[in-house]
Parts: sequence; structure tokens; C-alpha cells
Amino acid sequence: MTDSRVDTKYRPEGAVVLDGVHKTYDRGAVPVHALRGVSLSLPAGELVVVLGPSGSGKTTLLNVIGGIDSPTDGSVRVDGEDIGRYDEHRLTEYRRRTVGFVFQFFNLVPTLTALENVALIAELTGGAGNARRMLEQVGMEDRLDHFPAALSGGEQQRVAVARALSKRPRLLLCDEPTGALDLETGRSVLGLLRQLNRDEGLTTILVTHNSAIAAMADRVVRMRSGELVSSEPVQAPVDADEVNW
Amino acid sequence: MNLWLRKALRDIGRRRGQFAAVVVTTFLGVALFGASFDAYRNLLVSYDTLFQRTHFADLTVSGGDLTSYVERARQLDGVEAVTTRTVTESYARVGDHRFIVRLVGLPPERQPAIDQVIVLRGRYLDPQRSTGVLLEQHLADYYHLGPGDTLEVRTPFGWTGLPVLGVAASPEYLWPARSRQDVLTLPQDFGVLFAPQTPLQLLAGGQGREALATVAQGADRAAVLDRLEALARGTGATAITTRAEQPSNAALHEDIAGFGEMALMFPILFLGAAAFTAFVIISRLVHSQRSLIGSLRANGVRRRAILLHHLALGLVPAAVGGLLGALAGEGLAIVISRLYTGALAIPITVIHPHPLVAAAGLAMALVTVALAALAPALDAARVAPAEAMRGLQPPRGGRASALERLLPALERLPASAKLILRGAVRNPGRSVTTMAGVVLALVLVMVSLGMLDTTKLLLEQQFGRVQREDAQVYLSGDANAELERRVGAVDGIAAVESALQTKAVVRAGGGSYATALTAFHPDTTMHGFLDAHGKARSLPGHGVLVGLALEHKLGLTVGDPVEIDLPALHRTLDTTVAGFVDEPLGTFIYAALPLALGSQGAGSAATAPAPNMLFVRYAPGVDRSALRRRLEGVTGVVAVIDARSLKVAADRLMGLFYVFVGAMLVFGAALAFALIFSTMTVTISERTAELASLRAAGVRQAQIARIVSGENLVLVLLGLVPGLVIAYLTAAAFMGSFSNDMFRFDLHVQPLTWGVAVLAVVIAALASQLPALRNVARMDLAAAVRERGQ
Repeated sequence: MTDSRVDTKYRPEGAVVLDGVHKTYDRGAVPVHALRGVSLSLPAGELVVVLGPSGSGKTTLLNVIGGIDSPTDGSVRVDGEDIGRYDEHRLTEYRRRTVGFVFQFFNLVPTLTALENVALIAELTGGAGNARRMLEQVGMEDRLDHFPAALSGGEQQRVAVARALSKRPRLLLCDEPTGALDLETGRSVLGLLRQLNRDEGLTTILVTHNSAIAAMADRVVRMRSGELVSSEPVQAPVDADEVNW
Repeated sequence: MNLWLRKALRDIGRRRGQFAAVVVTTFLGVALFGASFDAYRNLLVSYDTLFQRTHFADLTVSGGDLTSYVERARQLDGVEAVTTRTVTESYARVGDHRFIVRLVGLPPERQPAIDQVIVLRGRYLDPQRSTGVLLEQHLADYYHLGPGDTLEVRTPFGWTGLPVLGVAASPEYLWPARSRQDVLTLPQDFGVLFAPQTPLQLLAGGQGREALATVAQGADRAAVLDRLEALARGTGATAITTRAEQPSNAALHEDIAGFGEMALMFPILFLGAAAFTAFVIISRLVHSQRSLIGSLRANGVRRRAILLHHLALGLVPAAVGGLLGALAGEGLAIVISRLYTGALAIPITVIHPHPLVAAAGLAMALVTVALAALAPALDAARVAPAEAMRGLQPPRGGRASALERLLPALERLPASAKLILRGAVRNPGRSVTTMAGVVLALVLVMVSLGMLDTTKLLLEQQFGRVQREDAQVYLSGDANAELERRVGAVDGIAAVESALQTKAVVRAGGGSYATALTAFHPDTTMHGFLDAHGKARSLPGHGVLVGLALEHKLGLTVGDPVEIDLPALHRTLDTTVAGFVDEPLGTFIYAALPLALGSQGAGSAATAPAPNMLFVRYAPGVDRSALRRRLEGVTGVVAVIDARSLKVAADRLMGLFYVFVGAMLVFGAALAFALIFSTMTVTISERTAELASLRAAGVRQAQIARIVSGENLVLVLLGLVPGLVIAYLTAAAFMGSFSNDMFRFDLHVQPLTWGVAVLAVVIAALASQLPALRNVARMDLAAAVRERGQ
């Protein structure tokens, strides 16, 4: 199930290939199978929306691709490298160089301003991005010196996106990025993610239980009970403004 | 099991490391309180029992018209008994070793009515054996003498062998002090024996009489003592000593008072730490369970139940620690009491169980921790049901740190440095707790290290700058020029000076103080005179130098007139205070020889006095024991007391100090560890999502550790500033509480000690964050990044 619509202007990096990935958690006497033999190929530069009900394994899939969790079995190849075999040290380096995360609850450092939050990650990971420019890119140039407490949820999420971009990642992984936002703010953030995907050629994987968001994706991956149900390209993705829920 | 209790136990179980800190600090606080307070009580009761059984004198009087005093004292209401006896000093020798011996008169037929002795070995005095004596236990033990042995004592008839009938303990010599000015005497230099009164009186030539009195049970003790003291002054007494002032009793009480102080200090420090810890943990718990508490409230659970549940979170660990501590304290008190009385050879050890003390310790623990838990418990009880429905809470407001606002240039710092600066003061309550841990730990460390430094320095001062002689040479007659020459000619003697040393009573402004006067040559090199600032000064030609303690004890100032009775010389000096001397051991009077001998100043004397002893300094590297024997071989020399033997003994005792200091360092480190560990683990758990996000972004574990350690170090440094000041003041007050006319303990802290104290606390602080950092390393990133940040 590969997609032939990959734009040639996108960078070649960021392709993700999963082959027979299992993830089992030991929760007492009964093992929990979060992923059951998922095989999937995600071309570089796509905006992928992963859909599924609660407990379907979509977040585990994202975590395994992002290197904050390791598969129990199978391979996870990013640009040809099997990150499933990496030890903790190499996973850290992988996340440092390759991945940018955006979380549902933003997870900004409350004692740092928007600019400092972005600069911190660039500083600690040796990221190449200019914090100020990153914030300008997400439309936060007027709020650089504001602390998170003084920002709205949408603004905080924009800062979180800028923070994720500050390392110039090849993969942008978003876990329910609109889950804590109202419709308008959610649309605004989705628009930003789409814009970055297109402008930067950034492979973007967005996990959500909100099926309305699927309409704006290049590809929709559906999960249920830890298994891949489908992975299909979207023929005519809509703009974020047209997404409604 | 009650479901609330089950929840409480499980909440505690999930945070067992943090609650273990509450248990441990509560345990230490209650155990050390019980141990020190019970030991204090046991020792006081042991002394009191011994004093009652031996009818220890309430008042001892010497000088003046003793016969009149005794007759009139016996008539006073509330006086139980009045007796007289003779006390004199001479020299004794065992093998080739000579030392000062005090002979105390006892009626040979039966125990006296006052100041009885407890015969430990052999038997009491025998009227049929007028030369038979009892040896005080320290003397007997040091020289391994017992019943059947003979001790040679110098009498007017020469060296006379006295048969030892028994070995005895006396309430007056539990701590064998020669006088209040000479509390630290060594058994090789000074011993006590008890001899039949009548022959002793003859031997002393009628000198050295004392009257002892006891107050009847049930009488107004203070009033009776006042009347007796007034009577003694009225009959011209030269020395009046109450039971509290009696040298042995005063020294021992000074010593065991330390237990009483520790009984106060330990609970303050450790229960304070337990309270801080409980407050931090329960506050965090309430914060993290607000939704749950809101749900419970929405389901109709009463505020009172929620309040009690959260109080229980503090009370359960406090009860566990408190109960274990109370039991351990009782056991420790018995061990300490027995070790103490055993080490000091106190013949009676009274050990009473003190259930009330144990109960008080437990109650203190429960009340302290309950008070600490009350604020977060009330906070929990006030949670509105709507909290359960509330969605994402906005992050707490951030702001630049005070330091950044003060120094705008810090704006250019990298974001990670700002994170450290602001993180340190992110939660003011938490920051204060960490700083309080640093302060408390520094107090414990500085008190113990300060005591060590002070003792070391005072010993160096006493035996380096004050006592410059190597030995004091006691003579059978006056220190004439010929004898001085002979002693100076002994191989190994570098310098010799004659001096006069005699008992003295200082009178001024209606008060008096019994001490000793030592008169040196005006240009003496055998004694250094240090003023209150530690500066050396010379012996004045006019007036006397007096120990600093008399400045307050008699209200003296420089230039004040004083009257100095010298009973052994039958002479009184009318002179002035020329200055004060600050000496670590004892409170003495010093004068130039011409003044003391009567060639200057006003005075009256029956006979012209002369120097009566020699101070000598040894050549470097000499064999001190051999030289001492050579000196004792000089005709006219009776005994030689090596001034360095006390220094050597004191240096050996420093080993015990190191044990004490080591224990206090461990306690200090444990305290800092417990507080910082608790605050750190709570801080880390509150910031799980934030730190996990950094880890997810590829920030290395070591970088996170540096940030967290940096925040911690900032707080430790902030705590060090007030901590060092408070610790110094506490240590000074602690040492000052031991200062009196017997010892002067002015706190001295070596520069290195400050560094050691700081280093110890910083190491404890850094070590205490290791468990929290390990938790960060083991964090489940996948789960943590989905948490709501705070």
C-alpha cells in the first residue's frame, strides 16, 4: 500500500517502513498486545493521519516510530535504518537528530518564555534552527517574550510546534495536537502543520481519534485492536479551514 | 480493613521512598529525644540517690571562726546536721612516681553524718589502726592498689607507709577535681585518700578545717542555705561552697546538661524535618489527586472524611516512626546511662523506665507531623466537586528570577541557564524546604565541628600560649636561690623560675570567690597573659590580673579595688584589678612576686612569705619521664607535675570527640538527605511531563541531570548563606552554654572547617538527588509525555 503521489520537491529523508511490528506490554498476569504485526510504508514528505478508537494502538505506533518506545518484535526502518534495534543511547541520538514531537498537552516549560522554550531545545540538542525564526514561522512573532501561562492553548501548541521544528527534524510526530483545543484553534494549528509539511517537505504523522481530520491528510492509516486496518492515500485533501467536527 | 485506611496505605506504598523519609526522620527525632532525655533523667536520679545515701553536704565552709559557725548553725531551723573535718594536701609516692594527694578526715568508728563514703573493696576505717586509710577509687584503680597494700605519704616525719584498708567512692570525688580551678586533674598527678580525723588533724597542724552542713528534708532549702551562708560570712568564712558549686558535682552536672540540651535539639531538628517532608509529600499528593478528590466530593463524600484521610497520610508514618523511636529511645537510654556511669565509675546507676517520656516523644511526633499535614489536608477538604469536571488547567505563571530582574545582563544567558535559575525558585515553598534542610544540616555539622575546633584551639592556647612551663616543681620548703640553682643545674632543664602559688579568696563589692593566686617574676617567661581579645600582655607591677569570669561574677572592672585573702600565708592583699586574663581552664589570679610577697602595696602578714615552688622548662627532645625522676631526686623537691601530661591526655580524649563529631556529621547529612530527597522526588514527579518531553526531544539524560543538579545547587547555595550564619550563632550559643568559671568555651572555627561543613552538605545534597535522577532515567517516556504538565 504505497503512495505514488510523493512530490519530488520534498526531501528524500523521512521515509518510514514498519515490518511485522509487535508491541506487547507486561501488565501483571495478562500481557497487553498494543501492536500486532503491523507492516506499513510511509513515504517521505507525506502528512499522515493515524485514526483509531481508544486502545487501537495508534499512539503506540507513533511512539515506536518516534523512538520513545521499542517494538517487541519486527523492524521499524526510518530512512533505511532499523531503529527498533537501537539501544537507549542511540535512540536518544535518533530523537535528537530526526524527530520532532508535538503533544496533546503541549508540555512547555512554564518558567521559560516562548522564545526560551524553543531556544532551549535547540541549545540542548544542538539543533540548527533559529528560535526566533521558528516562532515567526508559526505566527508567534508578537508573543516571543510571553510565558506559557500568558498564552492561549492554540498559542502554546504553536510554540510546541516551533519547539519541535527547532531541531530541523525529518519527522514531525503529533499526538492528538488538537485534543485540548477548541475548533477554531484546532483548525489554526492543523493549518500550520499542513503548511509546514508542504513548505518544508516534512514527513508529518498525526495521531488522532477525530476522523474529521482525515480529510486534510495525504494518507490515512486506520488502526483497531493493535492491528493495521488500512493505509490509503487521500485523493483530494482539503484545507485545514474546511475541516469540521 | 477500612477502605480509607487501605487507600492511605496504598498511597503511602506508592510513594514509599518519600514516606520512608518521614518514618526515618520521625524515628530519629523520637529515639534521640527519648535516649537523651531518659539518660539525663537516669543520671540525675542516680546522682540524687547517691547523694541521699551518702548524705552529700549542702554547704561546705572553711576559714573564719568555724567553732562559732558550727555551734550557731546547729541551732538554725531546717538544718539537719553540721559536722567538721580536716582536709589537707601532701604528696604520695608509688614506686618512683610522686603526686599530690588530698587527705580527707573521717571518724574511724563509723561513717560521718555528712559526706559518707561507699566502701567498694576492703573495709571502712578501723579505730584500732590509726594509720589505716581508704583510697578513693580513681587513685586505687590508677595505681592498682587495694586492701593490704601500703601507700607512702609525705608527713612531717618524712615518707610514711600507710596501710590501705579499703577502696571507697565518695560523692565529692565522682569526678576527681582538685578544685573548681583545677577540674581536669589526672590520676597520675592528683589522688584522694580518707584518713582517721584525729591523727590527720595533728598532721595538718590544726589547718584545713571545714564545716559541712545538710538541710533537713522538707525544709525551705533556699532559705536555710541563705541563713547558713549569712552565718558563715558573719563568722569570717573564707570559702563557702554550695553543693551545686562543689567541683565534682558542678563538672558532672555541666557534662550531663549536654544530654538535656540534646533532648531539646534533636526533636526540633528531626521532627522539623519530618514535618517539612510530610508537608511536601501530602501537598503534592493532594495536587495530583484533585480530580479524584473532586469526584469523591461530587459523590457525596464529606469534607471531614477527606480531611481525616489526608491527615492519616501524615499520621501513619509518624506513628510508625514514633513508636519505633520511642522503643529505641528507651533501650538507648539504658545503654547510655550504664555506659556513662560505668565510664565515670559512679557506684550507683538508677535506671527507671520512663513511659511518659516515650509517650511524650510519640505525641510530639504525631502533633508535629499532623500540624504539617493539616494545611494540605484542609486544602484537600476544600476541593470543589466541579474540579473533577475541569479540563486542562493552565500552567502556573512564569516570570524571570529576582536575580535576572536585578541584573538585566543575565538576559543574555542561554535558556538552559535561565531554566536552572528560575527552576530553583519555581515553587517557593519547596525552595524554602530545601534551604531549611541545608540550614538544619549545617547547624548539626557546625555545632560538632565547631566543638572540635574550639577544643583543639583552647588546648593549644592553654598549653602553648598560657602555660609555657613544662612542669611545676613542688618543694618541701621555700624556693630559695640555692634550690633554684640546683634544679636549674639538672641535666635537661632549660629554664627555671621561682613562683608563689597559694589558695586565695577574692572579695569585692560584697561578693567573694575562692581560687588560687600565682605570683611570678614580673618578666616571667613561664606564663602568658592573654587579654579578652587574645592579645598577650605583661604582668603588671601594680595590681593583679584576674580571670575574665570574675568580670561578671563579682562585677569587676579595671581599676576596681579588691581584697585578696591568702589564708595559708595569713595575709590579705589590698590591691586593684590591673586587667583581665582570658584562659580556657579555670579562673585564677596573677600578681607580680614583689606585690604578693609584700614588698609592694598594702597588706598585712603574720610572717614574711617566700616563693614556694618552681616552674621549669625542659630542653627540646628530652626524655620527660627520666627528667622528672632526676628532678624528684633533688633534695628539697617533693613532687613534679608535668604540665604536658594533661595535654597528652586531652589529645587522647579527642578520639572520643571524633566519634561524637562523626555521629553528628552522619545525622546532619541524613537530615539534609531526607529533606532534599523528599523535595527532589516530589519536584521531579511534578515535572514528569516536562522532563519527559525534553527526553523525547533527544535531550540526553546527563543534560537533564545537569539541569536538575544545577537547580538544586542554586538552592543549596542560597541555603548556605543564612545557614552558615545561623549555624555559627547556634554553635556559639551551644559552646557558650558550657562556659563558666571552670572552663571558657568561646567558639573558634578554623577556615578549613567552613569548607568541610559546606562540602559535607553539598555532597549530601547531591547524593540525595540520585534516586530522583534515577527515576528520570527510568521514566516511561511514552506514558509521561501524555501527562498534563504542571
